[in-house]
Amino acid sequence: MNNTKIFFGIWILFLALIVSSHFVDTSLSCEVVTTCSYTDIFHISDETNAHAELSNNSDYNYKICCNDTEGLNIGASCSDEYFILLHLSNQTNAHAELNNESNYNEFNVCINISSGGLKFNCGYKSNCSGYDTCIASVSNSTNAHVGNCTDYSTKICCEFNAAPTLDYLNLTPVSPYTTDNLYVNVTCSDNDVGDTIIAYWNIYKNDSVQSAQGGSLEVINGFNTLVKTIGSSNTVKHDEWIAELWCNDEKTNTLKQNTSTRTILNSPPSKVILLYPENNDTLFTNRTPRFNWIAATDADNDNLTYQIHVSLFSNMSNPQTNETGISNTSYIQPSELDFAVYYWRVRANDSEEYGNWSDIWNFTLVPSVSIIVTQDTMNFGIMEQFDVNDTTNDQPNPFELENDGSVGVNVSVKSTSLWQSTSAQLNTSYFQFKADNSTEANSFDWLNSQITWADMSDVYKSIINTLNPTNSNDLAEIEIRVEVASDEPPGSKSAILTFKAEES
Amino acid sequence: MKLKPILLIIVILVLANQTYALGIAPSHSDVIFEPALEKTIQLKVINNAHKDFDAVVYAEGALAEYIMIDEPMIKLTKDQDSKIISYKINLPKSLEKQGLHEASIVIREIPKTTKGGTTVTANVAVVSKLNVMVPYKGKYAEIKLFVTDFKQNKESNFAVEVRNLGTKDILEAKAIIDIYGPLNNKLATVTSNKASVKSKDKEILIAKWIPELGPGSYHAVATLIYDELNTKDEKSFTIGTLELGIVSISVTDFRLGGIAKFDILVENNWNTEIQGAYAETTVKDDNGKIYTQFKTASADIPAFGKQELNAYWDTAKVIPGAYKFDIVLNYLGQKTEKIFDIMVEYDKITASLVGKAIAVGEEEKPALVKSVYILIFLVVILIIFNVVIYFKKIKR
Repeated sequence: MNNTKIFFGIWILFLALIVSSHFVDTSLSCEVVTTCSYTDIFHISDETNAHAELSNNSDYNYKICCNDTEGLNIGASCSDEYFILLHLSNQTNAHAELNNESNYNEFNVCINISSGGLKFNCGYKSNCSGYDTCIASVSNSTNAHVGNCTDYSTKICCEFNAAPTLDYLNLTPVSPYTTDNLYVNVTCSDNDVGDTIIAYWNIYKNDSVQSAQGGSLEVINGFNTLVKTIGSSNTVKHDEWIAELWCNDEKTNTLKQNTSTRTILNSPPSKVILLYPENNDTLFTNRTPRFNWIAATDADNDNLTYQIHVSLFSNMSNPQTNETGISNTSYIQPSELDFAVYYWRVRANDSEEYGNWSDIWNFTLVPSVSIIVTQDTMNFGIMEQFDVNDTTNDQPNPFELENDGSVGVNVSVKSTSLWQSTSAQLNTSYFQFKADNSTEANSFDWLNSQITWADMSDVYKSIINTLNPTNSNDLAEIEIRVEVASDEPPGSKSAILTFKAEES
Repeated sequence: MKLKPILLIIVILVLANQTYALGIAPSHSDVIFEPALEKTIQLKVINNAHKDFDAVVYAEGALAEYIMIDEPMIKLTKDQDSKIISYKINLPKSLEKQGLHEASIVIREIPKTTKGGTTVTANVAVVSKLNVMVPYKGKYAEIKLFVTDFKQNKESNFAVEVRNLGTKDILEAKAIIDIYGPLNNKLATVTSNKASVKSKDKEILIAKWIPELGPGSYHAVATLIYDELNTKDEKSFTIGTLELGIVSISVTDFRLGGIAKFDILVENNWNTEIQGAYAETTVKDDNGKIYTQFKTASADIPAFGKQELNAYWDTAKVIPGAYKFDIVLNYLGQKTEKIFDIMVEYDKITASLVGKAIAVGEEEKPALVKSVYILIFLVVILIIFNVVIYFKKIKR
C-alpha cells in the first residue's frame, strides 16, 4: 500500500514538473548601482532625492541596473515589448513624471524585451509585493525627484508577464437553423503560473453589436470552453452572426478576433402527412376527390403552399396531376379521374425551398352504381272498376330515379302483381310503366329507353338506357299507369316494383 | 291539443315519402380467365340514404354457378355509410368460348310492407358485374386513354393503359394520340413510348405533350399500334380554364337625368361559343346604398371573341359624384365579378379599373361647361337681387 502511495506521489510530482516547466519562472531584479553589469535602464544623480537622466547620458553615477534570472534580452529602448516607466523633462538633469502624465512628452525611460514572448507588467504602487522587483521611487506624479526604492512612497514595480493567447474560437453550428442555439467556444492560454484568465466576447448580428449578448467568463487555461449560448429564440433566418473574442490575464489583452460568420439558414417545411383518400383504399368511388392533408409546419413561420402529384405509377413518374402553389390543405380534382390505381403525394414550399415529400399513398378508383328513388310509394287512392289513372299529370307523383353513382346505368323494372283479377295479371295493359323526362332533361338515352307504356312483368324489363351520372342531368321519371278491370274484387291493392340498376 | 293532428300529419308525410337508395362498388370486376382460378372479390355496399335496411345478395348469369356469396343476407344501419361484402369465384378448368363471360352479383333491398289503397311500392337492386375474359387466341389488346387537365404551354401527358387480352405476348406497342379541335380538325399528334406487354398483363404508355393551343375543349383519339394490329380509345379533355372576362365598360351620349347606357365588353377565352351569357349590374355608393340593379339580355359570346352586353340606368334622381358599378357575369353555371369605380358628371360617366380610366363618355367641352356654370351663377345672383328688392318694397 505504502509503495503504491509513494509511487503515486512521485508520479504526481513528475507531472507537476512537466506542467510547471511550461510556465514562466523567470524573474526580474533591479537595483541602484554605480557599475551596471546588466541592463542600464536610466541614471539618477543620487540614491535619494535625485534628478534623472536617460541611460545614454553619463552625467550621473547611479544607475538603475536590471537583470533577469534567465538572461533574457532586456533593454532600455522604447521598442518591441516595452513599458514606459517615466517621462523625463530632459535628457539629463531632469525631473520625472509618471507615464500617465503628459507634461514631459519627449524623453521616456523604458524597459523592453525583444524576445521570449514575454511582456513587462509594471505599475506605480506603494509596495512591490507580487511583482518581481522595484525599480525606483518617485516623489510626485509630475515634476518629481527620483530615488531608490526606499526613498519615496510611490514605487515603480515591474515583473515579467507572459501575454495570454487566444488559441481557438468558434461559433457553432456551422450551418445553423432557426431552431438551433448558437454556441461560442474559446480556448485561452497563458504561460504565467496562477494568472486568472478571462475570456471576453461581443456578439454581432447583421453587423450590429448585441449588447445583451456580450460578456466575459473566467476560463481554464488551455481548455476549450463554451462561454456563451445564444438561444434559438433570438435567431431569425438569414441573420448573420459573428462572435468577437479576446482573452485577458488581468494584465494584458490579446488581440480581438472574430469567428467565421454564421448565417441562419432557411428551415424547410416539415414533411406533409396525408389524410384522404385513405391509403390502400381499394374501393374508392369519388371521381373528383378532395385530396386532404395535415398542414406542414415551418420553423421560420413562413407562409406555406403545397404541391401535389397524382400518378398512375407507384414511383410517381409522369404525374397526371402536378399542381403547385396550393394555398390550403386540400386539392379538389377538377376533372373526373378515370378508373385506375392512383398514387399521390404532397410536399410543402416556404417560397425558398420544398420540404420532403409525404409518403406515397394509393387508392383504387372503382366505378360505382348507385341509385336513388326519391319516393318509395305512390298511392292511387281508392279506385273502382274501369277506373284508369297514371302519374303523367303528377297525381300521384311518378317515381324519380337519380343516378348517384360514377358511371352511366341501365335500369330495368319488374313487379309483383297488383290486381287480383285473372284478366289483369302482369304482362297486361292494366299495369304499365314508361320512362319520362324529369326537370333534368337529357338525363338518359331517350331513343333506347322505354318511353311508351309497356306492360309490367315479373321478369326484369329494360326501362332506362344509360342514365347519366352527371349531377346536372342524372334524374328520370318513371310513370306508372293502372287500370281496374271490371272483375277486380274490392279491397286494398298493392304491388312492389323493383328497379335494378347496372353499369351500362 | 289542436297541434296533435297537425303533428300527426307531418309525421305521416315524412314517413310516407322515404327515399330508397342503394349503391355498389365496383360496378364491375374484371378477371382474366385462368383454369380453376380461385379468387375472392370484395364489394362495397353503399348506404347513401343512411337508413336501416336489409338486403339479399345473390349471383345470376352464366357464371353464377362458380360464385359463392359469403353473406347472402346483409343488414345495414343508418349509421353505416357502407359495408364491405365479398364473394368467391372458383372458375372451371376451361371455358370454351373466347372473350367475355359474365355474371351479376345482385344486391336487392328487402321491401317493407305496403300500405292501404291502391299502392305501388318501389324497391331497389343494384348489380356488380363479374367480367371473366377468356384470352383471345393470338394477339389482342384493349386500351384505355387517360387524359388530364392540361395547361397552356405546360408539359403534361396522356397515358394509355394497354391490356394484353390475347394468348400471345405483344412484342412492341406504341400509342399515337391525335388531338382534334371543336370542328374536328386535327391540331396535333403525339406519340408515346414503346413497350412490350406480356399475355394477360398490362402496361401504361406515356405520351408527353406541351399544349400550345388556346384554352378550350379538345378531343384526343389514341391509336395503339401493336405488332401490326391496332385498337383505339378516345376522350375529351380541356386545356386551361373556361372564363369570360369583362374587358371594359363605356357610356356614350350621356346627359345627367337621362338613361345611361353601359356597354359591357365581354371576352371569351374559350375555343367554343359560350351561349346564354348575361350580366347582373348594380350601382351603389360607397356606403353600399343601391341605386339600381339591372339584368342584361343574354348573348352568345363567340369562341376567342368579344361581345357587348348592355345595361341601363335611369339617372333622373342621380346626383353627380362617385359610385360603384358592380358587374356579375353569369355563364354556364359560373360567375365572374368585377367592380368599377364610376364618376357621374353632368355630361359624362367615366369608369376606372385598377386605377386607370378606361372609358369616357362624351368628350369634354370645357368652354360649354364653363358657360353653363356662369349662366347658373348669374341666375342665382339675379334671384337674390329680386328677393332683396321685393322685401325692401314690402318694408316701404
